[in-house]
Order: sequence, then C-alpha cells, then structure tokens
Amino acid sequence: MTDLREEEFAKRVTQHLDAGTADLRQGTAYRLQLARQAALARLAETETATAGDHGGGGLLRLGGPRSRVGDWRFWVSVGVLMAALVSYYQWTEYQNLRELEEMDAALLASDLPIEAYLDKGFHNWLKHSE
Amino acid sequence: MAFFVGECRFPASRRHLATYQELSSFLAEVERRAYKHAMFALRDEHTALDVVQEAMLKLTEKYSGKPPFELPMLFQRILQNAIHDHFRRQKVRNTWTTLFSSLGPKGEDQGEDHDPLETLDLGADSNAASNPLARLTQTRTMATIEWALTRLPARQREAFLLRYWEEFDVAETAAAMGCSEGSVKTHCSRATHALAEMLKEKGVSL
Repeated sequence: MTDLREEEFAKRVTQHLDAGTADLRQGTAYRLQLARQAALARLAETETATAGDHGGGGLLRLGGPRSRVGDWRFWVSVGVLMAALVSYYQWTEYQNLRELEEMDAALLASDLPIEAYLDKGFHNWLKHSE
Repeated sequence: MAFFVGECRFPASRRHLATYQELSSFLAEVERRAYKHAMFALRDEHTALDVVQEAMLKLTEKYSGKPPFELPMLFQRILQNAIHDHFRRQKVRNTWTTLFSSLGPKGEDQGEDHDPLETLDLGADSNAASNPLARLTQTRTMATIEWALTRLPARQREAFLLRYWEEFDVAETAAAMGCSEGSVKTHCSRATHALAEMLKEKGVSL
C-alpha cells in the first residue's frame, strides 16, 4: 500500500469513526455532557478562588490554587514565626540559667560547707532523716 | 477538527489564553472522540467515561491558562496518560488479586475474543426504516472498524487515531506520544495495513 493509498484508506476509516461518534447512545452522550460540565464548573471554582486570592487571603493560607512562594506576605509570616520560635527558645534558656544561679547562690549562702554535699554519708543521713 | 489543531493555523494575534467559552467549545468538540479513544483502549464504557472525565478535569484545573491552539495536544497527552495510568493501576490490582485468589477477573474481561458484531446494537434510528439494508451495512462496517481498532497494538492505535482522526501532523503526533517522528510513521503504516487486513478478513470493503 503506497502512502497515498494509506492516507485514502485512513480517511475512509475516520469517516466511519465520525459517523460512529454521531451515533453515540444518548446515555453515553449525556454522561459526557455531565463530565464536561463538571470540568467547567471546576474551572469556574478555580477562577473564583484565584480572584479571592488577589483580594487578600489569610497570611498563612497554603495549598491554594496558586503557589504562595512568590508572595511577600507568605515570607513575612514565615519570618515572624521563626522569630517567635527563637525568642521562646532563648527565654526558656534564660529561665534555666536563672534557676541554676539561684541554686548556686543558695548553696554558697548555706551554713553547710560544699564538701558536705559531695559526701555519700551525708546523703544517706538526709534520706534517713526524712 | 479544523478548530484548534496546529500552531500554523493561528496568527500571533490569536495566541491569547483560552477563555471559559473556548474551553467549553473545545471540550464539547472533542468529548465524543475522546470517549471513543478511551473505549478502543479500555473496552469498558464506564471506565472510558471515567477516564475522559478525569482528563477533562485535569485540563481545566491545570492547563486552562494555556493558549487555545495548545489545547488539543495537551488534552490528548492527558487522555493518553490517564489511559496508561488506568492500565498501571489495573496491573497492580490484578497482581494482588492473583496473589489472594486463583479465580481472578477473567469472567469480566471480554478479552481478545470479544466481537462487537455479535452484540451489535442497531438502535432505533428512523433512517433504518427508510433504507434498512444500507443502514445495516453502515452499522456493521462501523462496528467492524471499531472492533479492528481495539485489536491493534496500543501504540499503533494511538498513532493512527492521533494522526488521521485528530488530524495531528507527524511532529504533533510524535510530541503527543513522546516518540520520534519515524516511530509515528512506522506505527501509522503498520496500523493501516493491519486494519486493512482485518477488515478484509471480515469481508468489509471501504
């Protein structure tokens, strides 16, 4: 079969295929129409959501129809969150340090010599006396 | 398919982003052919409809911002990927099924021996009354062609349908199928010969 005859044959085949699509069962055609409408409805939803996005959404609204990576507000909120975490960490560290200082001061200010706390017998005596 | 196919048919002034109306018209135009594409590959009406719906949703969700002339190519790629994904999922399901049961889904599969001529639905068309013989011949020819297409190897069928039914040129078909232009020509030629042979065997002449 030459290229020309191949194309002529293919053309006749596709003419029958076109006739086949025109003769589709009504139920099938209806389901295809529903599928199309569902797809277009999703498009309308996406467009509405995008318009809402431009109108100003929440600062940390992730997973929307468009990526927030290029949005400066997204990065500002990430920065604020990071600063809050660092501040909290430093505050707890400072509190721990304060407790240790108070304990050291109490030890140094007490009448007992520091060597007493290192003595095992003293610990046993403390336990039994409780 | 004179609507969207081919970049050359679109001057630069028309290379705008697809509007809602254009997408709607495009989907209305391709939905029936898309369904047939899926049917030839999947041989199950409900699965084919699901796959077409999946492809339509993906097009509108992910690619609605593309210019109209890119839609046919994109949609065909999405559709073919959806069909391939279905086969992949089915393969995994069948692997698990055969692991747990020796019965398998053989009863549901129409398989290679399925012959649509045996279950031909002539429909209730009014033309059948005026010229029933011509109508019967046409319906049988159509059914035989569709049956022959389901028997073609997947890549040959894909190339044939994209090249001749969707009227993509060789380069576009190659891009949609993710293969070389030479492969497209080979697939198309083999598909045409195989179809001609099968139709001849069934006594159908075009």
